[in-house]
Amino acid sequence: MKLLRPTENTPFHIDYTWFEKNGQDVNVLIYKCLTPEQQERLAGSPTDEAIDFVDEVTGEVRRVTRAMQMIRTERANDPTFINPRLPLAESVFRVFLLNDNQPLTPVELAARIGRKPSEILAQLGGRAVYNGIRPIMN
Amino acid sequence: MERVLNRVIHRPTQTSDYWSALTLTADDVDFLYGFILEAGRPQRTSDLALALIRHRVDRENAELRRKWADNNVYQPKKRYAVGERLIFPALKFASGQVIGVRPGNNPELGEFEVIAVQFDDGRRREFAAAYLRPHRLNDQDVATLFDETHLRSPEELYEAHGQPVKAALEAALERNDDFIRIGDEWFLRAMMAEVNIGHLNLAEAVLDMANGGPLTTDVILRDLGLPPDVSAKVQEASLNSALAMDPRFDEVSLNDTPAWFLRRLEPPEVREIPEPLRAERWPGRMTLRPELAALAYELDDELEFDESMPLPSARSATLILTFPHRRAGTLGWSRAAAAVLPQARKPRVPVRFKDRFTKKEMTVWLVREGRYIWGLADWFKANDLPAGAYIELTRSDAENVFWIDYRRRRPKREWVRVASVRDGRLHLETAQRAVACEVDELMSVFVDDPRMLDALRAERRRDVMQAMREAFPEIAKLSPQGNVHARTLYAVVNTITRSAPSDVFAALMAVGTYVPVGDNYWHLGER
Repeated sequence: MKLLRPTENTPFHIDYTWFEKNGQDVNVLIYKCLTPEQQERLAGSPTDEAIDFVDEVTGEVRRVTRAMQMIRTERANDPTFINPRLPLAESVFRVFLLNDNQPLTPVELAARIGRKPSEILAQLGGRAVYNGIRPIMN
Repeated sequence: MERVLNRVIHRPTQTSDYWSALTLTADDVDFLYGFILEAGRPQRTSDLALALIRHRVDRENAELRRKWADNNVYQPKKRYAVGERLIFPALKFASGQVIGVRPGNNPELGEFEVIAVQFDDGRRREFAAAYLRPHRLNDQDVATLFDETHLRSPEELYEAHGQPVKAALEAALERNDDFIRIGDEWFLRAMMAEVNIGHLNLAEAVLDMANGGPLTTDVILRDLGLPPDVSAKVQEASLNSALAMDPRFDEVSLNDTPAWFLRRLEPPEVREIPEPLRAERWPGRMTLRPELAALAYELDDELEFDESMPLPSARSATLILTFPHRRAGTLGWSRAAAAVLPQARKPRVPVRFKDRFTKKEMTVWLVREGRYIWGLADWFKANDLPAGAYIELTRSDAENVFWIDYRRRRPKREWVRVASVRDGRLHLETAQRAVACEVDELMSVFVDDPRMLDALRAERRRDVMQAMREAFPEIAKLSPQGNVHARTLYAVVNTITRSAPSDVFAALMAVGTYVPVGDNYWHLGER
């Protein structure tokens, strides 16, 4: 059977099931995205406790962790949250945290993280999976 | 983000897609029926189209009002109960029903509620309610969603999309027996006044007295005595409908006001294509060299008139008289002529031509089948015009009156191409004749006794190939090199067989023994 390869126009997203299948906790990864001050504020709370997050545009409620809420409410407009010094896979992971995991192609991601589409595809389109980011192949 | 918040209610009637895909419903047809009934007189297609657009817009508004009356606009600050219907402006005005309410859980946001909403498309999502913190939707003025100031009015919609609406409307009403079409107007069959055979006989007599017509319907009505309690408009519509169904009458107006002519008093040549104009077509494949195709287009024969091509309007046009038209007393209603003359869609309509020199007026008929202009035999004869003469048509300031003229010059005896019949075949020779007009040198053919050519055609009808084979050597012998211009071949073939240029050229190429020698000249090869 011929394997389909993703292209620069193939959408990617965080595949949360990948963490479960590989025995990893995505909340740990999300926790690492917080600033030391935010981590201190969360000290003592369980990392997987879900709270109601209210979308500021639509009013829609989504069940998210407190860490996730902090990222979306406090880091969305922070230019240092996604910066050129971050590893590529980490930057892409943060983009998907902020946009509620809406699928994006390497071309679209490139505009958000300041890297070339080919570079993004080379890293995320291979066999190795970084931070649960995988292509959506139909 | 602003893009989402600035959305207003989506109205399909404001889009071109809506009107280009329009199909009339039973409700639309009922509406149009009522519209005409209320008006009590025939309505033009354009008026019905505008009314239909207005009706559709009104119906859309009513539907929106009904939908919005049953639904609240969702705002996070409001409290909602199970069963309430909501509309979500930030979600493209999707609507749904509240199916559950629970307390919100977020210590940083204080107390609020979360409602579960089942959308009409089956999706289920949760939204904040009784949420008193700042939120864009809490600050939105719901009234702005109904902003109609940017909407195009029905009149503006008609301006932009009137054509597809009229087409859909005409298609629907044509299929419906309740409606009757009278020219560009529509009326209800049930509202027509009774026009009996006696009325129609009277109409015939009225037209007979007017030498056949044309007379407008209101003039004919004066002598008919239809019931006076029926309005004049309805009387006209009823009589128009009855006249249109009676083969004794022909509608010949050039505008929206019907005018009638008695068919038996129309010249026979406008009811049937005159014999010299009955064409033979090339039955084989049409493979033309590009220069021949270009020449055929330039020759602009009405047999090759393409109705689908856009027709630019022109103030004047120059036509070249060909032998079949000279013989039939006609001109081709070609592309060039059509650009000057009115665009008549009826089978035959009379217009007035006025001699530029003598100022004398004559009635000519534009005949749609065959695309010719009949009524010029006397004018050709009076001016002694040969085939090949340049004829000029120009619009006048008066409606449906056109100047006709030819390129005049001092009469002079010249060596010209003369066609005759010898031994039952076409014969060409060069001879001296008096010429009083400018002619196309390659297309002029002088004929001393056209009746001989009539007899030749009647004796044996030649197809395009036979005519081309007979004409080519006759033309070739008149030049020392034996070359024949395609233009001359077309003109001479037409003295014995009415043919379109492409057909003549297709026959020329199909033989294989004729070779091009440049500039559309051809030579009989050695093969």
